[in-house]
Amino acid sequence: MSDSEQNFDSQLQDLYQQRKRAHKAPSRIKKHVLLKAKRNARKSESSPWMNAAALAATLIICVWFAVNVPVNEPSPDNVALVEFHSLSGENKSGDNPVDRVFEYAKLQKDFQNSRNKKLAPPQIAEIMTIDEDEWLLKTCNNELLRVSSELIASLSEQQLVTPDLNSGEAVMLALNDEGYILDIRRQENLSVCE
Amino acid sequence: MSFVLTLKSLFPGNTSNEWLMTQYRLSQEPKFLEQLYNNCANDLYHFLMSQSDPHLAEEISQRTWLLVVERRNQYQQTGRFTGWLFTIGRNLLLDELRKNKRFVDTEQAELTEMVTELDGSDRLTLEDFNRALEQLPFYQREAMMLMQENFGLKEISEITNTPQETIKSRIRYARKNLRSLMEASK
Repeated sequence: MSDSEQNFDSQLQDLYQQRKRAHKAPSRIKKHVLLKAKRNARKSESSPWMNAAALAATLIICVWFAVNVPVNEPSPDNVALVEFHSLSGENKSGDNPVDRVFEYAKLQKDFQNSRNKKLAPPQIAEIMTIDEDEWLLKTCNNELLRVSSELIASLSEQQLVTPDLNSGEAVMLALNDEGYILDIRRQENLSVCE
Repeated sequence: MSFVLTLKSLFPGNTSNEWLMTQYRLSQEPKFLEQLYNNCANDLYHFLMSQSDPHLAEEISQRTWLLVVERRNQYQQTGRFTGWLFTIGRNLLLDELRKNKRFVDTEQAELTEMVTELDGSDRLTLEDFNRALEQLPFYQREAMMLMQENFGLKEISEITNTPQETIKSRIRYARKNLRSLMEASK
């Protein structure tokens, strides 16, 4: 490299450094970056505690489910058919997909007559849950019957439902030949499905 | 042992950028990042600004440092920290320039020289230098600036993902063109 070139390179370096000194990074970049870094640091500090809290919460939920949820709660996997029985046919809660809907209002006029029609074989079912909107029954054939509270009330008025039934009890369902429930009676023998 | 470690951590000779980045990666202590920032931020900003404009350079600088925070676990102490930093910054800048159609790939056009015979005795001014640098083609300016930032050929090649021979050519043409342009602007 000639003296001239060396001299030029040396000047170049000087000028480059001068130029750099004239163009410094705005201080707001630093503020923003450090703020982000501090947030990150805080997040990672709190994460072991948050992880522990999440684990504890999960355990509590698992224990709660084990204690409170009945083991024979129907699950979609082991249910063959879901029927919905109500006065209007309107599916209020709609949690489970329904395979068949029975609208009792249509039968109202002929309800007494339908009782005299040819009956289907009675079915034994277990009352799974009783809540505000409906009763959930599971038959020995693994069919899930959702019966609206209005329909239960209507049947009860006609003394077609054994009073004071509770979840966990077995009932015998009298059905007409179309599958409409005619009455619900307590079944004393709980092991009928076995 | 812990006494030795404490002493080492206090000893200023250990605070290379690579050591600081490793400490930041391991501890996430903002003080390590702050020191890294103090050491490198102006160099990066100046590089980006020279390749774009102050507004875009500020935006890309900020995004680059935020990526350093986010990708701290991807940092591997195999090369210089500044190499990693400039690679991130350069890639972000090129993406942005391409997105806004502000980037024209002029590789062939750049491999030309505008040499004039120089006396070499006259002192060049900062104004001449600024004007000449701005007129340099993108890749030549990039190679020249990275060289001025004390990156070696291999590092520049890695930062720009370009063969070393091409980098050599760019630097050679950049020097010649810069010299010519600066002389012409006197």
